[in-house]
Amino acid sequence: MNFIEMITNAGGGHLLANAPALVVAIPLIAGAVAVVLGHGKLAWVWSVLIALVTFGFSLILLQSVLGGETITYAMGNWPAPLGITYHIDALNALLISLVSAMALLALLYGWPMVEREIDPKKHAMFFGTFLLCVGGLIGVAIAGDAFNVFVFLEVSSISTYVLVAMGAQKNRQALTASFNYLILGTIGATFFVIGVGLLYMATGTLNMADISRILADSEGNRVVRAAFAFIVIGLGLKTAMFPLHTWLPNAYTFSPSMIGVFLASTATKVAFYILIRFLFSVFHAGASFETAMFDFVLAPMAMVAMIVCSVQASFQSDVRRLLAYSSVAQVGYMLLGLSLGTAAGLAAGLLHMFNHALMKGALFMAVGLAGLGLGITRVNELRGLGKTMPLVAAGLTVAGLSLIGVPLTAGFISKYYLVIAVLERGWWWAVVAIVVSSVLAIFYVGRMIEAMYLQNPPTPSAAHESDPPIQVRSPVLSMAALYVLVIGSVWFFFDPSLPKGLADTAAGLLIGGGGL
Amino acid sequence: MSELFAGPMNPAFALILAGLLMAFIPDWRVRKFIALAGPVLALWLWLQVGVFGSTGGIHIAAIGLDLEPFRFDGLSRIWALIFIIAAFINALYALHDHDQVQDAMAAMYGGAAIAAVFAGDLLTLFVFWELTAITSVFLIWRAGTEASRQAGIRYLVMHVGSGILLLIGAVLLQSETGSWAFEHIGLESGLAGWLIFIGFGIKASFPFLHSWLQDSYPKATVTGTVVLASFTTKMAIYALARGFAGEDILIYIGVAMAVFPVFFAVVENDLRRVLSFSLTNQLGFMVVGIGIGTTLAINGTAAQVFAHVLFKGLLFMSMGAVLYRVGTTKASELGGLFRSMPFSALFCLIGAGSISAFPFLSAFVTKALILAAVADEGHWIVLGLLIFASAGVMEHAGIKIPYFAFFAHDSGKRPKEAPWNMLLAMGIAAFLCVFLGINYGWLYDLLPYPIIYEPYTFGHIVGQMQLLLAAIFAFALLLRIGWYPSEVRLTILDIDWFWRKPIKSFLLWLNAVSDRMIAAIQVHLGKQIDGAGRALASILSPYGSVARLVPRGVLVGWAAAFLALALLTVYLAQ
Amino acid sequence: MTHPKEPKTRKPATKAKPARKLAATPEAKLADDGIHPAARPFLWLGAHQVQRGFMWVIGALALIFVGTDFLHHRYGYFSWDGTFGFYAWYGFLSFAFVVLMGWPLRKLTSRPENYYGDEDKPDE
Repeated sequence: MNFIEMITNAGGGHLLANAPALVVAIPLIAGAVAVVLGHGKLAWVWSVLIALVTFGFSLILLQSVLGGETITYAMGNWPAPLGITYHIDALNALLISLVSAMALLALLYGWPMVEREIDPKKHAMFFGTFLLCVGGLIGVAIAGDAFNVFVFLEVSSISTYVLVAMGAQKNRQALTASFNYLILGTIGATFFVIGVGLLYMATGTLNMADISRILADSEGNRVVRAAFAFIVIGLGLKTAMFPLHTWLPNAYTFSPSMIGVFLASTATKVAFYILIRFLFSVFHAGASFETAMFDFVLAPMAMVAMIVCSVQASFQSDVRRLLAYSSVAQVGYMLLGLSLGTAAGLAAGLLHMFNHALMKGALFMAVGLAGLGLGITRVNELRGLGKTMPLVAAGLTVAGLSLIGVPLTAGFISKYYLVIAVLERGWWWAVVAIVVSSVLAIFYVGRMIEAMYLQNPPTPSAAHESDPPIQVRSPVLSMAALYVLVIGSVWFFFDPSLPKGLADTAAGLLIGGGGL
Repeated sequence: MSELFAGPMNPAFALILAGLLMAFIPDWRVRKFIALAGPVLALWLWLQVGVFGSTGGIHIAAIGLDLEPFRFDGLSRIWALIFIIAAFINALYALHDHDQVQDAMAAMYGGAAIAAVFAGDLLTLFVFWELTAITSVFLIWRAGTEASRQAGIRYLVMHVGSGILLLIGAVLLQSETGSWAFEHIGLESGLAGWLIFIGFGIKASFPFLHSWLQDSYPKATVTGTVVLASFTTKMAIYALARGFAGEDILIYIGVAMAVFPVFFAVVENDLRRVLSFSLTNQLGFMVVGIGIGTTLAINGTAAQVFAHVLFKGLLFMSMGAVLYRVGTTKASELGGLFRSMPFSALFCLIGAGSISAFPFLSAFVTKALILAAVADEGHWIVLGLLIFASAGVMEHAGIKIPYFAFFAHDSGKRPKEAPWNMLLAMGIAAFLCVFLGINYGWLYDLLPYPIIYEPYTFGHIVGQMQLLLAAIFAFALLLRIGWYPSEVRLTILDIDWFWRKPIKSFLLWLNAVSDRMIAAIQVHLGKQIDGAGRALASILSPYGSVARLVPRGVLVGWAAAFLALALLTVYLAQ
Repeated sequence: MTHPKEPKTRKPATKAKPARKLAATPEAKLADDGIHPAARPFLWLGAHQVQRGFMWVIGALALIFVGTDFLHHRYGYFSWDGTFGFYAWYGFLSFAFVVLMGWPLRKLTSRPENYYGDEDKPDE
């Protein structure tokens, strides 16, 4: 990674030293600037630049924790118990890179969609809010104390509500979707903050590392246990844990196309991350109440989600809704890995989180392009896409195969590790759930592939039956972004060492010594 | 990895590789060359193996997973050989057809079937079991009609479901025995055994699970039906022979399979559908052999499979030629075609004679093994029913197929003779039918167990000739006096009626009802949950006052209920 | 080789293409009445008398094979199937039963050809 050294050398040690602060601060401040810029395209160019810089900083952070090191950064040099601390290790460095990379790709992809779907007067607002959301998500991932997690969670959530609501120009239902999301999201946040409050009562500190140290020796009194339940359910709501997922399908379906892409590949992932952080770093995986939670709540719910939501996905007629339900099912896979409580399970869950971000991002991008080119929103409208938009259809197919978990795609790798981890625990019934859910995925993905390749495109009334179908071109930058993710979904089958290594390192840290 | 390539190569790879290659080669000449070269290479690999045993075992130490993808023994050897021969004949038969999808899928399908036969463990078996389902369905879909599309979907549901039952059973079995090995399973292993048994049974078209076959095969493409008829069901027979040999219940299932299609075949008008019923009938004989389970019976089943793939393929090929040239295989539209398709007619007659077990044709030397094994075990009622079913075979496959297509009253149709490649493919199959009928020792040497049996005895030849000639005489007599049900264009209902009509209606009805019920619940019961939810929302949410505007209190109620569950779990944990 | 009364004036086959070769070659005849040259020696198979006579030929053959039971005892698998002419009468009755059962079965299960509503409808 020569270029990273180049950047750091150019900026001196100062930039590197303050990278943890900058990676959050830059998008937050730039968000405000974007609103001031006013002009739509200018705000977009600005956002792309900022996303690029943020991505660069996240790579610097990633580079410095690859070996399993952890960085603790004190805001304004105030030491831990009083000041705000940021904490970076393999776990959240992976996540920060994911969020900033997806932000960059979504922006590169999104301009034609934004131009089509959002009122020009609101463009600057839109990109400003988007950067705010990015900053908030990175903040959640990096924050070292529980209250800051809450604050950043709210920053990202509130900006997400706004972004979803901006889909109203395309479809009025976006408003209802956003409102439902707001209600449930707020309740989730409330549960979370109640939990954090209870923890503060029990331990007298908000710093996650300190809480962890204090809780280390106790089995947990009633207050701690209540805090635990509140935090898990609060974060479960944000993660779209079944049956608390009801906000998700509508929010993904009716949001602007670019936001659908970004949310599907980052929002629930960040919530999933913070859930892991609390389950394994703040609380202790060995505690009886946590094991009970794993065995009796998380694992069963994960399996129900995998199957029920896959069935629901199979019955959807709207493509984005189908993908949204599939997302809830995929969250089930991640939660299943987590609820195993083993390093292998956790690593498999994290790996699936990463791979799912790639493939779901690609799927939403491809569907968005099909919508842009041909106004497609429903599964049966995909018919003949293999002829009218061959490149988009190919991308959709590859990402879809990855979603199923077909060999030669990244989806296979993470499912494979998940199955191995599950077998290690002897939970053969969970293997059954994985297989049934994967077969259901064959059906809902198969429906799309069947429509795209086996059916003929609808012929316009004027055209003759035998005319070759008209090919529709897509914007180059959007296609490039799509194919980065599509190639990623295949690349990480052949070389999963980067995400696998990080996931293993992170899981080792979390299981081994709390990782804080 | 190195041990993977140390031993002999699995012949299945030759075909799967050929299929993958063809998927990416647009030029049909190159593709056809590969289609023919694949089976030849597979045959060469098959000949290279030589010794029995297992090669290329994969051991995943971390979780103690032992995979055995290539087990070459007496049982798998003969199945693989006939699949390779069938793959070659099918490729030749499809030489005139330039459909890339079918070329690729047919080869991969054949390769997957061979790989499944060689599978030494249940996981490998599962993978290729599903691969046959996924590749073969394209042979149905490519017919391009709405009927084939829907039948393909029904087919896929049944077959993927069969694979899932197999997998669940395999996982259960592994959790009991600690091994993935695919050896004798037996029904005494409880639920696991039954799940696998039913999974196999779907593909073997057990009664009540059979209708996917008669539903989909007649709707597949001209060449696709021939390919389909070669592999799937015979793979299932292999799996049953490996896992459930000697299960008594199979005798009765097999008898039912041999008997009931006989009646349906009489009234069916579509000759390809008649052949599909005949397929289930033939599988019935094999299933009885497996149920008997003695070495003679298993030998009989293996021999019957070998002969059956050839003569059943030959019959489907001749009907495919008719379909290709005339555009239909409805008996009511055909007749007298021997005038313009004499070679097809001749080959069809050889196939019909073979399946009816005329002396010096293949089934004569194979079916007798099964009947002898049945008699050895003293099952005289079963034997009587199987002889009855043999008369039925004579009716629908021996007489009905060639008679109504090529003879009977002249339909006036004068289609061209089949293309040369179809004739050559049929010719090879017909030659092998005769060859096996005479040089039966060659086939007997390939059987799983050593065998001493002489099919050409006075009693066997005379008895069989009596049966067949009396049956043909009955046919001629009934036709003369007008008691033979004439061929008319009709749809004959089968078990699939249940899900194509009432169950479909029921699901549609259920959908409508549940929509209304949910609405009703939202209105009535919802009020309470709604109220509680709203109260909670207005307490907990900073936007509480706004929440009253949306009737989504139910969702909030859910969250609260779930929180209660979590709290309960956490408090109760010891 | 006799060529029985095959009506030569029949309309050309539906699929007959215009003759590509010279009119004098056998292929030209194929195009004329659609009869394959290899089938010409066997056209008598389609004659009415042959089709009527077929029944008696088969009946006679069957009787010959039943008759051999007189000459040489035929051993069966069990005692009953080795009895005189067993396979002949059993085959005849089985066959007749199967065929005659076709009538009630058809009454019970037949529906119009496009009952499921998916016949011969080209894919959209």
